[in-house]
Amino acid sequence: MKILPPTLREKKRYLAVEIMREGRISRERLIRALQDSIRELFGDTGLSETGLRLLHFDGNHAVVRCTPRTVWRTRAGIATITEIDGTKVSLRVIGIGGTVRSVMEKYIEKRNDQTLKREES
Amino acid sequence: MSLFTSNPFYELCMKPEAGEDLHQMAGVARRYGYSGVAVPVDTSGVEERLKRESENLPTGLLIARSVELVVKNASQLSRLLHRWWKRSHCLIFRGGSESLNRLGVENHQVDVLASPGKINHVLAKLASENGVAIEFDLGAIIHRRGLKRSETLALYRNNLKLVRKYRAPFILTTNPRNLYDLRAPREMAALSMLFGMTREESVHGLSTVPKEILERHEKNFIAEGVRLV
Repeated sequence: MKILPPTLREKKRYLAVEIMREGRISRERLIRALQDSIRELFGDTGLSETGLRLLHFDGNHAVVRCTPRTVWRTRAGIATITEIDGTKVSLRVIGIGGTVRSVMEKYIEKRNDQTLKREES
Repeated sequence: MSLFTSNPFYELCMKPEAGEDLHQMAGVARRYGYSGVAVPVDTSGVEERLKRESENLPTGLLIARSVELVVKNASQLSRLLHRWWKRSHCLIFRGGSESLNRLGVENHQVDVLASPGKINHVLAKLASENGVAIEFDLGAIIHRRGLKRSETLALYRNNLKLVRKYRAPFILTTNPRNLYDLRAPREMAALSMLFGMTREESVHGLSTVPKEILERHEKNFIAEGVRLV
């Protein structure tokens, strides 16, 4: 089958998310928490419109995908997460981009480099 | 996105819990892009903690002194105002009932009317005349769930309508007790959009109004727009 032409693909935005946490959280639990909080705020229709997907997770940072129209809704969903699995957490969007690569390079890899440098010195 | 990069933001209702590190919270606020926070100095211990942790406090973050006024009648209020007006940067009046809210907005020395509940057109008009900012506690939206949250959102929608109509000042806060309660300015805007606030209005409530409040308490301040130089 021919692939879907780019013009017909859904536009996407990638949010770089910073995670502040008390203990460890798992990837599955984070996805669950994201879905639940957006669903609680906007309902099933609202969640379906976001096209939510978690593309990267390393414990302290994550990359979340959504559609351009729902960036602020997703942001509100992210802001209302207070705990995951009994662990206190606070999430924040540190940057938005049009591709996973640009978001990773611009916001996440740079930050990890900085924290590494701080630990070395 | 210049809206969120060109303005100084303030969190006026920080209330660190007993076990929380003040400098850690202040550090997070700085990292989130705030220019200043206000901590209550009337509650026991905060003043000493400010002194003790002064070395660890982040540079470039203004730490203002706020006072929470919890009173029952007008004479108590005037006594507290007399006591704290010159010794603090932000006076936060805790409202609740109709008569208490009325007392708060009638006094132009009060800076913020906190937890007002449902306000009406009379209160909004007085708040506008006396420059008393109405508080929108976004912490309630974060922590409440289900029916409680939708009631809160409906309440804020009502308050926002009146605040717009009478051009009353308002502030956004999360009343953070620990560092996990803090939210960055853009997240605050996202939360306030849930009850119909525009991004420009959010920035107004996070930046312009708190800035004016803090300026009001400066030594050289004479009246709105007039300063001794």
